[in-house]
Amino acid sequence: MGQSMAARQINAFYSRTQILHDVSLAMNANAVTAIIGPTGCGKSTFLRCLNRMHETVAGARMTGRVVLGSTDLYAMDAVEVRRTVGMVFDRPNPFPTLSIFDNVAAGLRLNGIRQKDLLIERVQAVLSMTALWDEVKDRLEKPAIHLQSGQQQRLCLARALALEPAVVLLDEPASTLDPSSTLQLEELIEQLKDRYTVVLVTHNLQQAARVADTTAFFLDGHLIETGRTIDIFTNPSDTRTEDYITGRRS
Amino acid sequence: MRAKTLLDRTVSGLLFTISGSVILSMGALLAELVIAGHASMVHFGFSFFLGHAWDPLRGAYGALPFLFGTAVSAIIGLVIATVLGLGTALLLTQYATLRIIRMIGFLVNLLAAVPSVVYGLWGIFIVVPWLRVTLEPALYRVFGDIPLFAGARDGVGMLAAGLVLGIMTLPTIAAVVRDVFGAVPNTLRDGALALGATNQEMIRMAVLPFARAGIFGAVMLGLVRALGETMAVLMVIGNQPSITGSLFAPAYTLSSAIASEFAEAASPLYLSALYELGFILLMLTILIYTLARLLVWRVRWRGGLPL
Amino acid sequence: MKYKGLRLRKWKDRAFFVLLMLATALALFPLLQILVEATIRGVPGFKVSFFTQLPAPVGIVGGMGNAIVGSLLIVGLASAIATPIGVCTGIYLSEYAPVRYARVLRFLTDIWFGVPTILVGLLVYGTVVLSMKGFSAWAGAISLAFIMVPTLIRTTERMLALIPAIVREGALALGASPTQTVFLFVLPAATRGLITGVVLAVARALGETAPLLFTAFGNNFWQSGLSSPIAALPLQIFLYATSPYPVWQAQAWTGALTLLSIVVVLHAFAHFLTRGEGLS
Repeated sequence: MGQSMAARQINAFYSRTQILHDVSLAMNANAVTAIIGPTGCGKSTFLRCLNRMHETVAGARMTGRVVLGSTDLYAMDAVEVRRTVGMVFDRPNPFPTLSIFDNVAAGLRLNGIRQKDLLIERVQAVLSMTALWDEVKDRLEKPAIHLQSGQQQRLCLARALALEPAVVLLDEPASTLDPSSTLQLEELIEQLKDRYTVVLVTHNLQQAARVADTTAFFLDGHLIETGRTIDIFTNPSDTRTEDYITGRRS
Repeated sequence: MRAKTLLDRTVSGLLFTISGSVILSMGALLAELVIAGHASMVHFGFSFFLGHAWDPLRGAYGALPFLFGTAVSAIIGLVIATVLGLGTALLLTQYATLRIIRMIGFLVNLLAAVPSVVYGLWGIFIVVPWLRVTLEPALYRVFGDIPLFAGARDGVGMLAAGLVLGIMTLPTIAAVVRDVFGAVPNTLRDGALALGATNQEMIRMAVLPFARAGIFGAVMLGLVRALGETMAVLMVIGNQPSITGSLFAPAYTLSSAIASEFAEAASPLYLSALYELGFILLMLTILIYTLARLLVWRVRWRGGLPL
Repeated sequence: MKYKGLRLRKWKDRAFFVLLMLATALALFPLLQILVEATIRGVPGFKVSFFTQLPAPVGIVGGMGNAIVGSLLIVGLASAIATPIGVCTGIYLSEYAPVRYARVLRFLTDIWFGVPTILVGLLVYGTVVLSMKGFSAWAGAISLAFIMVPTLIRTTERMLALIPAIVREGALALGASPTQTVFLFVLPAATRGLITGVVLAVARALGETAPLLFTAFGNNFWQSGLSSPIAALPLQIFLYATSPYPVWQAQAWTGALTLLSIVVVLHAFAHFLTRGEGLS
């Protein structure tokens, strides 16, 4: 089951440049929260703060808290955080030397699961969940990089789901996919919220409107507005949101 | 681009001519070694490579002792340089979130800048006495039954040369491996970390598999450096054209033999044989270099970086 | 599902980090040792006389004055020969050369860079020394020039590559010809980088010993001209280091300290000029 997540007063920096200013945002359990905003508004950085990936970059630092359920993620071990909060990136990144099966099993193996039958069961389950099982079941031992990019991206999603995270972070997951793969991925995201809390960063407004329950609009490192997706898109309360939604912002 | 003017063509032509010096120089080097080594090549033929005696007084010239000494000292050096160089490069590239580690980079560059003759000085006055007094007796006590660690323990010899070569080739290997690790796409590292991998697991899953060929290439480039290293080796290897099973024994390398015997080579055949050693050295350099380049290119190409 | 083993994994991670630190410490230990030993053993001999006097027979304390002057002379001469060749070739490679020719040139430059320097000594002996009928400052300088050229080509090309494409496009869009673009816009922007290249090449040449053995040869007296054998600092260090006399050995350390100081200063200068960019 998903758990609700809340970011409190996040300030994030790269070297001396401040990327995020005092961002607080609640992300509901078993719902899709979309984060939209122009390039460079800090939406990806925000996402990377949620699973403590931000701190893996040289020169990066942040202040603030992220709470999952009732646990403070910044009081936990970062490695543990990342297996509880899964992430899919803007371009597919399967491990090039590993097979399809091993890619999905990678996270499980890291966490000490070695029993073959258990691995097979879990790999099959998440591959089915991502609608990949029928496409790849005959070539599980083939290198993952030979899949098409849409399949690769769903493989990366499966890889993240295999660890049964509470939250799934999606960082512009469709940005390198063709329209039909994008559609397929969006259908998957819809289904994901039955079991997980989903946070989706996207530059595609239609995508946010299609899949998100809640939408947050970021601009220049500030959270401008957040609310039900339908309200944000039809009746935004801030003129800057309205300008962005309607394309008036130069 | 606009149509080229007369000025453009003149300048381009001039620079092209100057750049020809690169080809000319390599050609001249090759020609010189072949011409001057020709007498020896004709006289000994292929047996030059197999001859294990090098005795100018009796007119016996075989390259085997030099090939042996070069190979053994280079292998010892490469093992040391690879282990330490990989460790250094991993620390510098994968743990760069720590500020102190970024400063270490300058020191590694400095390691490459120390002149060969200074390494030789360090070898003679610090490494060799330490080997003679501490390391070699200790190795002898423990492993004395193995021929590798038997025999006289003078400090001077292949082990000393290997140690010095190790430190001297380390910056080369570290620099190339740093480049190779730098070519590992960030998305791969992110992918592993986001699955909850520790840094060590991330390196094992994402960095090392990707860089494997490049690491091998870096070691080969280190080998090129080790082959050509002359002065420091000359100062610590003992300079005896012998083939001995013990790492403690003195030996000779291709480059150090040329350096120390060239001035006293009295007969034309002696001189020619030294030139042929030089020719072998050049061929080995070109061969290994080419192989190494191909491997490093492959990694950069896969990482989407310019060649 | 509950996952196990995190503590063990964290321990492995920490142990791995400690191993890497250890490897780095071991790698840098010799550098530290060399700097410390050269200071301890070299400082006592670090007097004015060391820089002004000639090498003296055992028993009398002499200096390396002629070797230092000799080194400066041949490296200066070598730079004068190598800089135009290296920099021009680097410019050609970066700005003019057709892709294929550039690839061949780059490959040969890299091989040249890796050629054992003792072989350069053989080449110059066979050509310059034999035709001039003797060892000479010229022969030494030409050997060092040989060694400097590939370094210069590489750094020049690398530094020009750091100049963003918009500089070139901007100039071309203004109606500048390709040559005007290179000489009026690109090169001025890369000046610091080009100077860095020369500095690094000089630092490398100053420490070279092997190619001088049978070209410059060495000399115990002040230089009288460019056509006679000439002393050089690394040669003198080599000679004294391998001698049986403690006085000479101590002077070798003083020589090494001098050489190291110059090289470190040159490298720090290069680092300062480019803030580490483009160096590796």
